[in-house]
Amino acid sequence: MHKHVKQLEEFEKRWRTSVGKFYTGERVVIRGKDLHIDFQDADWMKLLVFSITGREFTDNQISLLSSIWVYSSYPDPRIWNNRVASLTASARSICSLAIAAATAVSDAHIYGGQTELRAMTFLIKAKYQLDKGRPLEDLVFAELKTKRNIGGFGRPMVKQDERIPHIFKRAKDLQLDNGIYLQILKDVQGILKNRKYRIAMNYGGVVSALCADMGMSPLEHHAYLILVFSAGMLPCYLDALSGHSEGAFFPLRCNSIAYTGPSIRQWVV
Amino acid sequence: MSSKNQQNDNREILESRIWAEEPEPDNPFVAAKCYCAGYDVYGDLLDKVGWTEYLYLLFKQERPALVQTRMLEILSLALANPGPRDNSVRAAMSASAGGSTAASSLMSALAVGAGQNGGAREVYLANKYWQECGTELPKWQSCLQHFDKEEVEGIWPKLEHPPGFDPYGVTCATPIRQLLSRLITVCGDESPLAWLEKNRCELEQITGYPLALTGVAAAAFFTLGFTPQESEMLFLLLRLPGAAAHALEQFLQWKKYPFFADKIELIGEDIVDYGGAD
Repeated sequence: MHKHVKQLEEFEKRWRTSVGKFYTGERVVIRGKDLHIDFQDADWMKLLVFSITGREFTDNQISLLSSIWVYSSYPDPRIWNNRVASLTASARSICSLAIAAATAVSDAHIYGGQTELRAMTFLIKAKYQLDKGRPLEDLVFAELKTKRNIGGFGRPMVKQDERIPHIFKRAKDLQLDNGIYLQILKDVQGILKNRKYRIAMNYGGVVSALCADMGMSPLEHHAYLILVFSAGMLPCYLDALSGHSEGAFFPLRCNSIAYTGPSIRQWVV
Repeated sequence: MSSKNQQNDNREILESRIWAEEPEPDNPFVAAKCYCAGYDVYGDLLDKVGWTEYLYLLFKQERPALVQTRMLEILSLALANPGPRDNSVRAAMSASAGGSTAASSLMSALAVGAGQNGGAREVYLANKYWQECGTELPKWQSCLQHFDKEEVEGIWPKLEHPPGFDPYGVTCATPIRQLLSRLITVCGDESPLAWLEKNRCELEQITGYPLALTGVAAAAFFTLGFTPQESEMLFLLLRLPGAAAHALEQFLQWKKYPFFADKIELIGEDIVDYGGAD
Protein backbone atom coordinates (compact mmCIF):
# COMPACT_ATOMS: atom_id res chain seq x y z
CA MET A 1 0.00 0.00 0.00
CA HIS A 2 1.31 3.44 -0.88
CA LYS A 3 2.46 5.53 2.08
CA HIS A 4 0.09 8.36 1.19
CA VAL A 5 -2.86 6.00 1.31
CA LYS A 6 -1.65 4.69 4.66
CA GLN A 7 -1.47 8.25 5.89
CA LEU A 8 -4.97 9.01 4.71
CA GLU A 9 -6.23 5.83 6.32
CA GLU A 10 -4.71 7.02 9.58
CA PHE A 11 -6.23 10.47 9.16
CA GLU A 12 -9.56 8.88 8.34
CA LYS A 13 -9.69 7.35 11.80
CA ARG A 14 -9.26 10.32 14.11
CA TRP A 15 -8.57 14.00 14.62
CA ARG A 16 -5.93 14.45 17.27
CA THR A 17 -6.05 17.76 19.06
CA SER A 18 -5.17 19.39 22.34
CA VAL A 19 -7.51 22.28 21.65
CA GLY A 20 -10.59 20.93 23.33
CA LYS A 21 -13.66 18.79 23.37
CA PHE A 22 -17.33 18.95 24.19
CA TYR A 23 -18.33 16.03 26.40
CA THR A 24 -22.03 15.92 25.57
CA GLY A 25 -24.18 16.95 28.48
CA GLU A 26 -21.19 17.03 30.87
CA ARG A 27 -18.48 19.63 30.31
CA VAL A 28 -16.32 21.44 27.79
CA VAL A 29 -12.54 21.36 27.79
CA ILE A 30 -10.65 24.23 26.21
CA ARG A 31 -6.89 23.79 26.00
CA GLY A 32 -6.86 21.68 29.14
CA LYS A 33 -9.17 23.89 31.19
CA ASP A 34 -12.84 23.53 32.07
CA LEU A 35 -14.76 26.22 30.19
CA HIS A 36 -17.55 26.59 32.73
CA ILE A 37 -15.39 26.37 35.85
CA ASP A 38 -12.05 27.98 34.97
CA PHE A 39 -13.68 30.74 32.92
CA GLN A 40 -16.96 31.15 34.79
CA ASP A 41 -16.42 34.86 35.46
CA ALA A 42 -13.93 35.62 32.68
CA ASP A 43 -14.63 38.32 30.15
CA TRP A 44 -14.71 37.34 26.51
CA MET A 45 -11.33 38.84 25.51
CA LYS A 46 -9.59 36.78 28.19
CA LEU A 47 -11.13 33.61 26.81
CA LEU A 48 -10.49 34.62 23.19
CA VAL A 49 -6.73 35.13 23.58
CA PHE A 50 -6.43 32.02 25.73
CA SER A 51 -8.28 30.00 23.09
CA ILE A 52 -5.92 31.33 20.42
CA THR A 53 -2.61 31.06 22.27
CA GLY A 54 -3.17 28.59 25.10
CA ARG A 55 -1.42 31.08 27.37
CA GLU A 56 -2.80 33.23 30.16
CA PHE A 57 -2.48 36.99 29.86
CA THR A 58 -2.35 39.46 32.76
CA ASP A 59 -5.34 41.67 33.55
CA ASN A 60 -3.48 44.70 32.20
CA GLN A 61 -2.70 42.88 28.98
CA ILE A 62 -6.35 41.85 28.57
CA SER A 63 -7.37 45.48 29.12
CA LEU A 64 -4.97 46.67 26.44
CA LEU A 65 -6.07 43.94 24.03
CA SER A 66 -9.69 45.05 24.58
CA SER A 67 -8.80 48.70 24.00
CA ILE A 68 -7.08 47.81 20.72
CA TRP A 69 -10.44 46.44 19.54
CA VAL A 70 -12.45 49.32 20.97
CA TYR A 71 -10.32 51.93 19.21
CA SER A 72 -10.87 50.25 15.82
CA SER A 73 -14.65 49.99 16.04
CA TYR A 74 -15.65 52.58 13.44
CA PRO A 75 -19.33 52.50 12.53
CA ASP A 76 -18.73 54.24 9.22
CA PRO A 77 -20.36 52.62 6.19
CA ARG A 78 -17.91 54.16 3.73
CA ILE A 79 -15.05 51.99 4.95
CA TRP A 80 -14.95 49.10 2.52
CA ASN A 81 -15.60 46.24 4.93
CA ASN A 82 -18.40 48.10 6.71
CA ARG A 83 -19.83 49.00 3.32
CA VAL A 84 -20.33 45.32 2.57
CA ALA A 85 -22.31 45.06 5.83
CA SER A 86 -24.45 48.08 4.86
CA LEU A 87 -25.01 46.79 1.33
CA THR A 88 -26.02 43.40 2.72
CA ALA A 89 -28.70 45.10 4.83
CA SER A 90 -29.72 47.41 2.00
CA ALA A 91 -30.25 44.29 -0.11
CA ARG A 92 -32.29 42.90 2.81
CA SER A 93 -29.99 39.98 3.26
CA ILE A 94 -29.10 38.63 6.69
CA CYS A 95 -26.81 39.77 9.45
CA SER A 96 -24.58 36.69 9.64
CA LEU A 97 -23.80 36.92 5.92
CA ALA A 98 -23.08 40.62 6.29
CA ILE A 99 -20.60 40.08 9.10
CA ALA A 100 -19.01 36.99 7.55
CA ALA A 101 -18.42 38.79 4.27
CA ALA A 102 -17.29 42.04 5.90
CA THR A 103 -14.93 40.06 8.13
CA ALA A 104 -13.45 38.31 5.10
CA VAL A 105 -13.07 41.70 3.42
CA SER A 106 -11.17 42.96 6.47
CA ASP A 107 -8.18 40.89 5.39
CA ALA A 108 -7.34 43.76 3.08
CA HIS A 109 -4.07 44.89 1.59
CA ILE A 110 -4.35 48.58 2.49
CA TYR A 111 -5.94 48.14 5.91
CA GLY A 112 -6.81 45.39 8.35
CA GLY A 113 -5.39 41.89 8.34
CA GLN A 114 -2.71 42.11 5.70
CA THR A 115 -1.20 45.37 6.99
CA GLU A 116 -0.96 44.03 10.52
CA LEU A 117 0.66 40.84 9.34
CA ARG A 118 3.19 42.81 7.29
CA ALA A 119 3.92 45.00 10.30
CA MET A 120 4.62 42.10 12.60
CA THR A 121 6.72 40.28 10.02
CA PHE A 122 8.84 43.40 9.64
CA LEU A 123 9.22 43.86 13.41
CA ILE A 124 10.36 40.27 13.85
CA LYS A 125 12.89 40.70 11.04
CA ALA A 126 14.07 43.95 12.63
CA LYS A 127 14.60 42.31 16.03
CA TYR A 128 16.51 39.46 14.39
CA GLN A 129 18.67 42.04 12.64
CA LEU A 130 19.43 43.77 15.94
CA ASP A 131 20.10 40.47 17.71
CA LYS A 132 22.73 39.73 15.05
CA GLY A 133 24.32 43.09 15.82
CA ARG A 134 23.42 44.61 12.46
CA PRO A 135 22.19 48.21 12.22
CA LEU A 136 18.46 48.75 11.88
CA GLU A 137 19.03 51.36 9.13
CA ASP A 138 20.25 48.66 6.72
CA LEU A 139 17.00 46.72 7.02
CA VAL A 140 14.82 49.84 6.79
CA PHE A 141 16.41 50.98 3.55
CA ALA A 142 16.58 47.48 2.09
CA GLU A 143 12.82 47.13 2.68
CA LEU A 144 12.16 50.52 1.12
CA LYS A 145 14.26 49.60 -1.88
CA THR A 146 12.73 46.19 -2.54
CA LYS A 147 9.13 46.65 -1.33
CA ARG A 148 8.73 50.43 -1.53
CA ASN A 149 7.07 50.31 1.88
CA ILE A 150 7.70 49.18 5.42
CA GLY A 151 5.33 47.00 7.41
CA GLY A 152 3.71 49.09 10.16
CA PHE A 153 4.16 52.41 8.37
CA GLY A 154 1.97 54.45 6.01
CA ARG A 155 -1.83 54.70 5.79
CA PRO A 156 -4.29 55.26 2.95
CA MET A 157 -6.50 58.37 2.84
CA VAL A 158 -4.84 60.31 5.65
CA LYS A 159 -1.34 60.80 6.98
CA GLN A 160 -2.15 60.74 10.69
CA ASP A 161 -3.79 57.86 12.50
CA GLU A 162 -6.14 59.22 15.15
CA ARG A 163 -5.94 56.00 17.18
CA ILE A 164 -2.23 56.18 17.84
CA PRO A 165 -2.09 58.79 20.63
CA HIS A 166 -4.92 56.99 22.42
CA ILE A 167 -3.35 53.56 22.25
CA PHE A 168 0.05 54.92 23.33
CA LYS A 169 -1.60 56.57 26.33
CA ARG A 170 -3.50 53.41 27.18
CA ALA A 171 -0.35 51.28 26.93
CA LYS A 172 1.50 53.74 29.15
CA ASP A 173 -1.30 53.78 31.76
CA LEU A 174 -1.24 49.99 31.83
CA GLN A 175 2.59 49.94 31.98
CA LEU A 176 2.81 47.97 28.76
CA ASP A 177 4.78 50.47 26.69
CA ASN A 178 8.29 49.33 27.54
CA GLY A 179 8.66 46.34 25.21
CA ILE A 180 11.48 45.84 22.73
CA TYR A 181 9.18 45.69 19.68
CA LEU A 182 7.54 49.02 20.48
CA GLN A 183 11.03 50.51 20.90
CA ILE A 184 12.03 49.14 17.48
CA LEU A 185 8.93 50.73 15.94
CA LYS A 186 9.84 54.10 17.46
CA ASP A 187 13.45 53.72 16.31
CA VAL A 188 12.33 52.99 12.73
CA GLN A 189 10.13 56.10 12.84
CA GLY A 190 13.19 58.07 13.99
CA ILE A 191 15.31 56.68 11.15
CA LEU A 192 12.65 57.61 8.56
CA LYS A 193 12.24 61.07 10.02
CA ASN A 194 16.00 61.74 10.03
CA ARG A 195 16.16 60.84 6.34
CA LYS A 196 13.13 63.09 5.63
CA TYR A 197 10.81 60.23 4.64
CA ARG A 198 7.23 61.34 5.25
CA ILE A 199 5.88 57.95 6.23
CA ALA A 200 4.23 57.78 9.64
CA MET A 201 3.76 54.66 11.71
CA ASN A 202 0.27 53.23 11.44
CA TYR A 203 -2.06 51.68 14.01
CA GLY A 204 -1.26 48.20 12.71
CA GLY A 205 2.39 48.86 13.45
CA VAL A 206 1.70 49.90 17.04
CA VAL A 207 -0.73 47.01 17.63
CA SER A 208 1.74 44.52 16.15
CA ALA A 209 4.52 45.83 18.36
CA LEU A 210 2.34 45.70 21.49
CA CYS A 211 1.16 42.17 20.68
CA ALA A 212 4.68 40.99 19.84
CA ASP A 213 5.79 42.39 23.20
CA MET A 214 3.06 40.24 24.80
CA GLY A 215 4.64 37.21 23.13
CA MET A 216 2.15 36.70 20.31
CA SER A 217 3.31 35.06 17.09
CA PRO A 218 2.24 36.57 13.74
CA LEU A 219 -0.45 33.90 13.36
CA GLU A 220 -1.77 34.35 16.91
CA HIS A 221 -1.81 38.11 16.38
CA HIS A 222 -3.66 37.72 13.08
CA ALA A 223 -6.23 35.41 14.69
CA TYR A 224 -6.72 37.79 17.63
CA LEU A 225 -7.53 40.60 15.17
CA ILE A 226 -9.98 38.71 12.91
CA LEU A 227 -13.05 40.18 14.63
CA VAL A 228 -11.47 43.53 15.55
CA PHE A 229 -13.84 45.59 13.39
CA SER A 230 -17.02 43.71 14.27
CA ALA A 231 -18.40 46.32 16.69
CA GLY A 232 -18.28 48.82 13.83
CA MET A 233 -19.84 46.49 11.28
CA LEU A 234 -22.89 45.42 13.25
CA PRO A 235 -24.37 48.92 13.70
CA CYS A 236 -23.74 49.61 9.99
CA TYR A 237 -25.79 46.54 9.13
CA LEU A 238 -28.54 47.31 11.65
CA ASP A 239 -28.78 50.97 10.65
CA ALA A 240 -29.11 50.12 6.95
CA LEU A 241 -31.71 47.49 7.85
CA SER A 242 -33.89 49.35 10.33
CA GLY A 243 -33.02 53.00 9.86
CA HIS A 244 -33.24 53.20 6.08
CA SER A 245 -35.41 51.95 3.23
CA GLU A 246 -34.27 48.90 1.30
CA GLY A 247 -31.99 49.75 -1.59
CA ALA A 248 -31.30 53.18 -0.11
CA PHE A 249 -27.55 52.80 0.39
CA PHE A 250 -26.03 55.18 -2.17
CA PRO A 251 -27.86 53.97 -5.30
CA LEU A 252 -25.84 54.58 -8.46
CA ARG A 253 -27.47 55.82 -11.63
CA CYS A 254 -26.58 54.40 -15.05
CA ASN A 255 -24.58 57.46 -15.94
CA SER A 256 -22.43 56.88 -12.90
CA ILE A 257 -20.63 54.27 -14.96
CA ALA A 258 -17.91 55.78 -17.09
CA TYR A 259 -17.45 53.28 -19.89
CA THR A 260 -13.97 53.10 -21.43
CA GLY A 261 -14.19 49.87 -23.43
CA PRO A 262 -14.61 49.19 -27.19
CA SER A 263 -17.44 50.93 -29.06
CA ILE A 264 -20.86 49.31 -29.47
CA ARG A 265 -20.67 46.45 -32.01
CA GLN A 266 -22.62 43.45 -33.26
CA TRP A 267 -21.94 39.81 -32.56
CA VAL A 268 -21.56 38.41 -36.07
CA VAL A 269 -22.08 34.66 -36.45
CA MET B 1 -21.15 7.56 20.09
CA SER B 2 -22.34 6.12 16.81
CA SER B 3 -24.79 7.48 14.30
CA LYS B 4 -26.85 5.95 11.52
CA ASN B 5 -24.46 7.23 8.87
CA GLN B 6 -21.67 5.02 10.21
CA GLN B 7 -20.89 1.62 8.74
CA ASN B 8 -19.95 -1.41 10.80
CA ASP B 9 -16.25 -0.59 10.42
CA ASN B 10 -16.90 2.85 11.99
CA ARG B 11 -16.50 4.86 8.77
CA GLU B 12 -18.89 7.73 8.18
CA ILE B 13 -21.12 7.47 5.09
CA LEU B 14 -22.45 10.30 2.96
CA GLU B 15 -25.52 9.64 0.87
CA SER B 16 -25.80 11.23 -2.56
CA ARG B 17 -28.09 10.68 -5.49
CA ILE B 18 -25.89 12.92 -7.58
CA TRP B 19 -22.43 11.51 -7.42
CA ALA B 20 -20.66 8.11 -7.35
CA GLU B 21 -16.98 7.24 -7.58
CA GLU B 22 -14.81 4.23 -8.23
CA PRO B 23 -11.38 4.36 -6.58
CA GLU B 24 -8.02 3.96 -8.29
CA PRO B 25 -6.69 0.45 -7.64
CA ASP B 26 -3.70 1.80 -5.70
CA ASN B 27 -5.48 4.48 -3.66
CA PRO B 28 -8.95 4.35 -2.16
CA PHE B 29 -8.88 8.09 -1.60
CA VAL B 30 -8.56 9.00 -5.26
CA ALA B 31 -11.32 8.42 -7.78
CA ALA B 32 -10.64 6.64 -11.05
CA LYS B 33 -14.18 7.19 -12.28
CA CYS B 34 -16.72 9.82 -11.32
CA TYR B 35 -20.36 9.36 -12.19
CA CYS B 36 -22.87 12.16 -12.23
CA ALA B 37 -26.41 10.80 -12.19
CA GLY B 38 -24.99 7.65 -13.74
CA TYR B 39 -22.96 9.27 -16.50
CA ASP B 40 -19.16 8.82 -16.52
CA VAL B 41 -18.09 12.47 -16.27
CA TYR B 42 -14.48 12.19 -17.42
CA GLY B 43 -14.83 9.08 -19.57
CA ASP B 44 -18.00 9.97 -21.44
CA LEU B 45 -19.45 13.45 -20.87
CA LEU B 46 -16.49 15.83 -21.26
CA ASP B 47 -16.72 16.44 -24.99
CA LYS B 48 -20.39 15.60 -25.39
CA VAL B 49 -22.31 18.02 -23.19
CA GLY B 50 -22.14 21.75 -22.61
CA TRP B 51 -21.77 23.43 -19.23
CA THR B 52 -25.48 24.31 -19.06
CA GLU B 53 -26.57 20.73 -19.67
CA TYR B 54 -24.17 19.54 -17.01
CA LEU B 55 -25.49 22.15 -14.56
CA TYR B 56 -29.03 20.88 -15.13
CA LEU B 57 -27.86 17.29 -14.76
CA LEU B 58 -26.24 18.12 -11.41
CA PHE B 59 -29.41 19.69 -10.05
CA LYS B 60 -31.99 17.35 -11.55
CA GLN B 61 -30.02 14.16 -12.22
CA GLU B 62 -31.59 13.84 -15.64
CA ARG B 63 -30.77 15.15 -19.10
CA PRO B 64 -32.48 18.41 -19.97
CA ALA B 65 -34.67 18.61 -23.07
CA LEU B 66 -33.37 20.86 -25.84
CA VAL B 67 -35.85 23.59 -24.85
CA GLN B 68 -34.71 23.48 -21.24
CA THR B 69 -31.04 23.74 -22.20
CA ARG B 70 -31.72 26.72 -24.42
CA MET B 71 -33.81 28.45 -21.73
CA LEU B 72 -31.17 27.90 -19.07
CA GLU B 73 -28.49 29.22 -21.43
CA ILE B 74 -30.46 32.41 -22.07
CA LEU B 75 -31.14 32.87 -18.37
CA SER B 76 -27.49 32.20 -17.43
CA LEU B 77 -26.35 34.84 -19.87
CA ALA B 78 -28.94 37.34 -18.69
CA LEU B 79 -27.95 36.87 -15.06
CA ALA B 80 -24.16 36.57 -15.49
CA ASN B 81 -23.43 40.24 -14.98
CA PRO B 82 -25.83 42.45 -13.07
CA GLY B 83 -23.40 45.32 -13.78
CA PRO B 84 -21.30 47.44 -11.45
CA ARG B 85 -24.24 49.38 -10.00
CA ASP B 86 -25.81 46.25 -8.61
CA ASN B 87 -25.39 45.84 -4.86
CA SER B 88 -23.83 42.39 -5.07
CA VAL B 89 -21.26 43.46 -7.66
CA ARG B 90 -20.51 46.59 -5.67
CA ALA B 91 -19.83 44.45 -2.63
CA ALA B 92 -17.35 42.38 -4.66
CA MET B 93 -15.67 45.52 -5.99
CA SER B 94 -15.56 47.09 -2.52
CA ALA B 95 -13.61 44.09 -1.33
CA SER B 96 -11.23 44.14 -4.26
CA ALA B 97 -10.66 47.91 -4.37
CA GLY B 98 -8.94 47.67 -1.00
CA GLY B 99 -6.90 44.65 -2.06
CA SER B 100 -8.87 42.03 -0.15
CA THR B 101 -8.82 38.40 -1.16
CA ALA B 102 -10.58 36.97 -4.21
CA ALA B 103 -12.73 34.79 -1.97
CA SER B 104 -13.87 37.77 0.08
CA SER B 105 -15.00 39.47 -3.15
CA LEU B 106 -17.20 36.55 -4.08
CA MET B 107 -18.36 36.02 -0.49
CA SER B 108 -19.40 39.65 -0.45
CA ALA B 109 -21.25 39.25 -3.74
CA LEU B 110 -23.02 36.22 -2.30
CA ALA B 111 -23.86 37.88 1.03
CA VAL B 112 -25.38 40.88 -0.68
CA GLY B 113 -26.82 38.97 -3.63
CA ALA B 114 -28.59 36.67 -1.21
CA GLY B 115 -31.08 39.32 -0.16
CA GLN B 116 -34.78 39.91 -0.58
CA ASN B 117 -34.25 43.13 -2.47
CA GLY B 118 -33.06 42.11 -5.93
CA GLY B 119 -31.32 39.01 -4.63
CA ALA B 120 -31.65 35.25 -4.47
CA ARG B 121 -34.11 35.24 -1.59
CA GLU B 122 -36.48 37.31 -3.66
CA VAL B 123 -36.27 34.69 -6.41
CA TYR B 124 -36.92 31.98 -3.83
CA LEU B 125 -40.05 33.76 -2.56
CA ALA B 126 -41.32 34.60 -6.04
CA ASN B 127 -40.85 30.98 -7.09
CA LYS B 128 -42.91 29.97 -4.03
CA TYR B 129 -45.72 32.18 -5.31
CA TRP B 130 -45.49 30.39 -8.65
CA GLN B 131 -45.75 27.00 -6.91
CA GLU B 132 -48.83 28.26 -5.01
CA CYS B 133 -50.57 30.32 -7.67
CA GLY B 134 -49.50 28.83 -11.00
CA THR B 135 -51.33 30.71 -13.73
CA GLU B 136 -54.42 31.66 -11.72
CA LEU B 137 -54.75 35.41 -11.49
CA PRO B 138 -57.08 35.55 -8.42
CA LYS B 139 -54.54 33.53 -6.43
CA TRP B 140 -51.76 35.89 -7.49
CA GLN B 141 -53.90 38.83 -6.50
CA SER B 142 -54.36 37.45 -3.00
CA CYS B 143 -50.66 36.51 -2.58
CA LEU B 144 -49.33 39.83 -3.84
CA GLN B 145 -51.79 41.93 -1.86
CA HIS B 146 -50.91 40.15 1.36
CA PHE B 147 -47.17 39.72 0.82
CA ASP B 148 -46.35 41.61 4.03
CA LYS B 149 -48.64 39.41 6.13
CA GLU B 150 -46.54 36.34 5.39
CA GLU B 151 -44.77 34.66 8.22
CA VAL B 152 -41.11 35.65 8.07
CA GLU B 153 -38.89 32.60 7.79
CA GLY B 154 -36.51 32.56 10.76
CA ILE B 155 -33.62 34.97 10.37
CA TRP B 156 -34.92 36.82 7.32
CA PRO B 157 -36.08 40.43 7.65
CA LYS B 158 -39.70 41.34 7.03
CA LEU B 159 -40.57 41.76 3.35
CA GLU B 160 -40.79 45.37 2.20
CA HIS B 161 -42.10 44.81 -1.32
CA PRO B 162 -43.84 41.98 -3.17
CA PRO B 163 -41.15 39.57 -4.38
CA GLY B 164 -40.44 39.68 -8.10
CA PHE B 165 -41.26 43.36 -8.48
CA ASP B 166 -39.01 46.39 -8.43
CA PRO B 167 -39.78 48.68 -5.45
CA TYR B 168 -37.98 51.54 -7.17
CA GLY B 169 -39.07 50.86 -10.75
CA VAL B 170 -41.28 53.12 -12.82
CA THR B 171 -42.07 50.91 -15.78
CA CYS B 172 -40.84 47.44 -16.55
CA ALA B 173 -37.27 47.94 -17.78
CA THR B 174 -36.40 47.13 -21.39
CA PRO B 175 -33.89 44.32 -20.64
CA ILE B 176 -36.48 42.58 -18.47
CA ARG B 177 -39.08 42.66 -21.23
CA GLN B 178 -36.43 41.56 -23.74
CA LEU B 179 -35.44 38.61 -21.56
CA LEU B 180 -39.05 37.61 -21.05
CA SER B 181 -39.85 37.68 -24.75
CA ARG B 182 -36.67 35.78 -25.72
CA LEU B 183 -37.46 33.06 -23.20
CA ILE B 184 -41.00 32.80 -24.58
CA THR B 185 -39.74 32.33 -28.14
CA VAL B 186 -38.00 29.20 -26.80
CA CYS B 187 -40.57 27.78 -24.38
CA GLY B 188 -43.74 28.72 -26.26
CA ASP B 189 -47.03 30.53 -25.82
CA GLU B 190 -48.52 28.00 -23.40
CA SER B 191 -45.74 28.41 -20.83
CA PRO B 192 -46.00 30.19 -17.44
CA LEU B 193 -43.62 32.80 -18.90
CA ALA B 194 -46.11 33.56 -21.68
CA TRP B 195 -48.84 33.87 -19.04
CA LEU B 196 -46.60 36.29 -17.13
CA GLU B 197 -46.07 38.42 -20.23
CA LYS B 198 -49.82 38.48 -20.92
CA ASN B 199 -50.73 39.37 -17.35
CA ARG B 200 -47.74 41.56 -16.53
CA CYS B 201 -49.64 44.86 -16.56
CA GLU B 202 -52.38 43.47 -14.36
CA LEU B 203 -49.87 42.10 -11.84
CA GLU B 204 -48.03 45.41 -11.88
CA GLN B 205 -51.28 47.19 -11.14
CA ILE B 206 -51.95 44.93 -8.18
CA THR B 207 -48.51 45.53 -6.66
CA GLY B 208 -47.99 49.09 -7.79
CA TYR B 209 -44.50 48.13 -8.96
CA PRO B 210 -43.11 46.99 -12.31
CA LEU B 211 -41.92 43.44 -12.86
CA ALA B 212 -38.28 42.96 -11.85
CA LEU B 213 -35.53 40.70 -13.17
CA THR B 214 -36.00 38.52 -10.09
CA GLY B 215 -39.65 38.02 -11.16
CA VAL B 216 -38.69 36.83 -14.63
CA ALA B 217 -35.91 34.64 -13.21
CA ALA B 218 -38.34 33.05 -10.73
CA ALA B 219 -40.87 32.39 -13.49
CA ALA B 220 -38.17 30.92 -15.73
CA PHE B 221 -36.86 28.66 -12.95
CA PHE B 222 -40.45 27.57 -12.24
CA THR B 223 -41.03 26.81 -15.95
CA LEU B 224 -37.81 24.79 -15.94
CA GLY B 225 -39.11 22.74 -13.01
CA PHE B 226 -36.76 24.13 -10.35
CA THR B 227 -37.97 24.36 -6.75
CA PRO B 228 -37.72 27.62 -4.78
CA GLN B 229 -34.55 26.33 -3.05
CA GLU B 230 -32.97 25.28 -6.34
CA SER B 231 -33.87 28.67 -7.85
CA GLU B 232 -32.28 30.51 -4.96
CA MET B 233 -29.06 28.53 -5.28
CA LEU B 234 -28.87 28.89 -9.07
CA PHE B 235 -29.54 32.62 -8.93
CA LEU B 236 -26.67 33.06 -6.45
CA LEU B 237 -24.36 30.97 -8.60
CA LEU B 238 -25.25 32.39 -12.00
CA ARG B 239 -24.63 36.01 -11.00
CA LEU B 240 -21.05 35.44 -9.84
CA PRO B 241 -19.18 35.83 -13.16
CA GLY B 242 -19.90 39.56 -13.36
CA ALA B 243 -19.00 40.10 -9.72
CA ALA B 244 -15.69 38.33 -10.31
CA ALA B 245 -14.81 40.27 -13.46
CA HIS B 246 -15.70 43.66 -11.95
CA ALA B 247 -13.82 42.82 -8.76
CA LEU B 248 -10.69 42.08 -10.81
CA GLU B 249 -11.13 45.34 -12.73
CA GLN B 250 -11.20 47.33 -9.45
CA PHE B 251 -8.37 45.46 -7.69
CA LEU B 252 -6.43 47.97 -5.56
CA GLN B 253 -8.11 50.86 -7.39
CA TRP B 254 -9.25 52.38 -4.08
CA LYS B 255 -7.93 55.82 -4.99
CA LYS B 256 -10.27 55.98 -7.99
CA TYR B 257 -13.08 53.92 -6.49
CA PRO B 258 -16.06 55.94 -5.15
CA PHE B 259 -15.64 56.70 -1.44
CA PHE B 260 -18.63 58.99 -0.78
CA ALA B 261 -16.12 61.12 1.11
CA ASP B 262 -18.47 63.89 2.16
CA LYS B 263 -21.65 61.86 2.14
CA ILE B 264 -21.95 60.82 5.76
CA GLU B 265 -24.01 63.05 7.92
CA LEU B 266 -23.76 62.32 11.59
CA ILE B 267 -26.94 63.50 13.27
CA GLY B 268 -26.25 65.71 16.27
CA GLU B 269 -22.55 66.03 15.52
CA ASP B 270 -20.36 67.96 13.15
CA ILE B 271 -20.13 66.38 9.73
CA VAL B 272 -17.21 63.98 9.67
CA ASP B 273 -14.89 64.56 6.75
CA TYR B 274 -12.19 62.05 6.03
CA GLY B 275 -10.95 64.14 3.11
CA GLY B 276 -9.94 62.73 -0.25
CA ALA B 277 -7.37 60.05 -0.93
CA ASP B 278 -3.83 61.31 -0.64
